[in-house]
Amino acid sequence: MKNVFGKEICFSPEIKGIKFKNPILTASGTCGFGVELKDFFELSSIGGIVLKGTTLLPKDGNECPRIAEFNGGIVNSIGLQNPGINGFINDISPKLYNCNTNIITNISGNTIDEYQQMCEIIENEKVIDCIEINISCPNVKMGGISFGTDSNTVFELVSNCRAITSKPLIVKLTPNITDITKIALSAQKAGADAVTCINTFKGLLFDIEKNDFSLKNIVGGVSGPAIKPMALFAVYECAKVLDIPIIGVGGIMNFNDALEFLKVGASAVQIGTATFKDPANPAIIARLIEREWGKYD
Amino acid sequence: MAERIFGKIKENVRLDIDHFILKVDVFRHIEIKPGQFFMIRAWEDIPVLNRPFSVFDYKDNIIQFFIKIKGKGTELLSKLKIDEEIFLLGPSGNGFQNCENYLAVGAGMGIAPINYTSTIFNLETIYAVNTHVSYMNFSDSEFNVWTLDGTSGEKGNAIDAIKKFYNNKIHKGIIACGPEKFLEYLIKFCKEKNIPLQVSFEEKMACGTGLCMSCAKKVKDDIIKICQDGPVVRY
Ligand SMILES: Cc1cc2nc3c(=O)[nH]c(=O)nc-3n(C[C@H](O)[C@H](O)[C@H](O)COP(=O)(O)OP(=O)(O)OC[C@H]3O[C@@H](n4cnc5c(N)ncnc54)[C@H](O)[C@@H]3O)c2cc1C
Ligand SMILES: Cc1cc2nc3c(=O)[nH]c(=O)nc-3n(C[C@H](O)[C@H](O)[C@H](O)COP(=O)(O)O)c2cc1C
Ligand code: FES
Repeated sequence: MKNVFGKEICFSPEIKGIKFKNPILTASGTCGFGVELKDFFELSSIGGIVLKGTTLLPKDGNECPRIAEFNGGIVNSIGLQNPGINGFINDISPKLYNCNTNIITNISGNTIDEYQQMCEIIENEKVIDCIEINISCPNVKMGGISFGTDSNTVFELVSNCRAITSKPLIVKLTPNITDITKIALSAQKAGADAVTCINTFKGLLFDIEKNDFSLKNIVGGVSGPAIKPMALFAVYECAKVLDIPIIGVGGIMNFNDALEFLKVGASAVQIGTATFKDPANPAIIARLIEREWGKYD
Repeated sequence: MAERIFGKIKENVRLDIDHFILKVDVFRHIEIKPGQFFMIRAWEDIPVLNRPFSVFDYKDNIIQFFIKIKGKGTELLSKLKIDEEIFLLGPSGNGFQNCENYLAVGAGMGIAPINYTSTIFNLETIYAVNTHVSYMNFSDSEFNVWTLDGTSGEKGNAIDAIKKFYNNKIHKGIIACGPEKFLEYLIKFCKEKNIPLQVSFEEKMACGTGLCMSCAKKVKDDIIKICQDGPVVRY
């Protein structure tokens, strides 16, 4: 199967020597720490599991309601509730031994130093195969503006992490920016091995009945079917300029949606919100991709 | 353990303008603890999320849900016809445990998880609503009905009912479900009176199976996932 650029799409893509048995991964924040999905399918049936966004220290997250729905998607303001990188390594990672798929840790920080410290800790953790850097987080040193909106900051962040880790580094891009390719190019220049397109769009909902914002945090991240066209566009734009692989994510609800991302330039895809519809969806989509692979040009 | 279950509608009983009982045939035996719930879906991609509902009753492979129409999801469920397919994810949550000889209290829709629990543990049960409803005989169990305006049963709210009924010679504690304000008051009330209490909470849920962290709630200084560590909290 070829993509729109005439390039052969690989069924088992590779990122810095790490092979993915198929191009289907889960998306961070929608599959817990992977362990929770074991009740619904064999983790080994998909290419990889991207774990819940993890920070250096444990985080309680935002106040509820943290989730609200509209016709076509959801808006979330979880606020990165997680047990911290050491909490993950001590309590959760042993449950992921022998799961026979790639484990990707998604990291978030307030400062470049925090990201670096996490990379250092992860470097010695055998369970973790790759690191996905979430650059949508507010940069405390720059007054809370997201790291991912400034190409110089992204270059500095990624090259500093690159200096520390030998594991594949994937940079997860934010769509809340004028030109996503500038940031993607700076991540590539700084030594990223792949980019993930895209994180959630900023958004809010207002509840007329309550006469209040739907989310306690007011602002959240929009995901689900409504964002698919924008996610496809981001992948396509990045594919035009990047040499490193692109992982597509945003509104993939079924096998057909996944194929669209591969066609416009993604090497792999992540299943996010669709996992809430049916937690077996990543495995179902992977099975269909495998079955149908030969049928498309 | 939560499973993916493909069921069919056995019966959809409309009780009044906005309440119905959905009876779902799941074709096999499923281990369900009283107070557990399912995430339910009977549509394609929109609405995006499944909807959480407590088990109202369960026997002979038929799970019953008692549902109030609120928005799009419950509206779609209310229109399901016999033999139509329905997807259930569950049973989820911890449920009520060791509540033999407790007094059971369901305020409004809070009667849903209480009904199945009182059937299993054979509990004396209070059903407190604002005003008379036309479907009082919708359950196999017998309730002590209380209405705020006195149009059915005794006049008063759920707390009035508890004050009248709770007898520490007979009852070992209280299980309850209902509006958040009522539960908050009840927690204080039981703490003062030293009455063991188990309450079932609601929170907005995206996954209902511990994947997303959207249902986190602070209880007793801990942050718990209502879908897994709840919905029942013991005080
Ligand atoms: C553990 C649990 C058990 C429940 N058991 C029952 C039951 O037995 N019978 C019953 O009638 N209702 C029950 N509810 C409430 C029921 O889930 C909501 O009324 C329903 O989701 C509304 O969906 P809708 O599309 O009709 O309404 P909308 O208002 O359009 O829904 C919009 C969004 O808000 C969510 N939502 C709205 N109200 C609630 C609520 N009270 N709690 C949680 N999420 C909500 C919906 O799931 C949806 O994602 C329960 C809720 C929880 C958390
Ligand atoms: C509840 C929820 C939590 C999320 N948490 C994270 C996170 O911790 N880190 C991250 O990089 N992305 C997070 N995301 C974004 C997703 O990984 C994904 O990029 C986005 O939801 C778009 O894909 P989708 O439309 O398929 O869900 C989260 C999304 C949702 C819905
Ligand atoms: S609803 Fe997703 S963790 Fe509880």
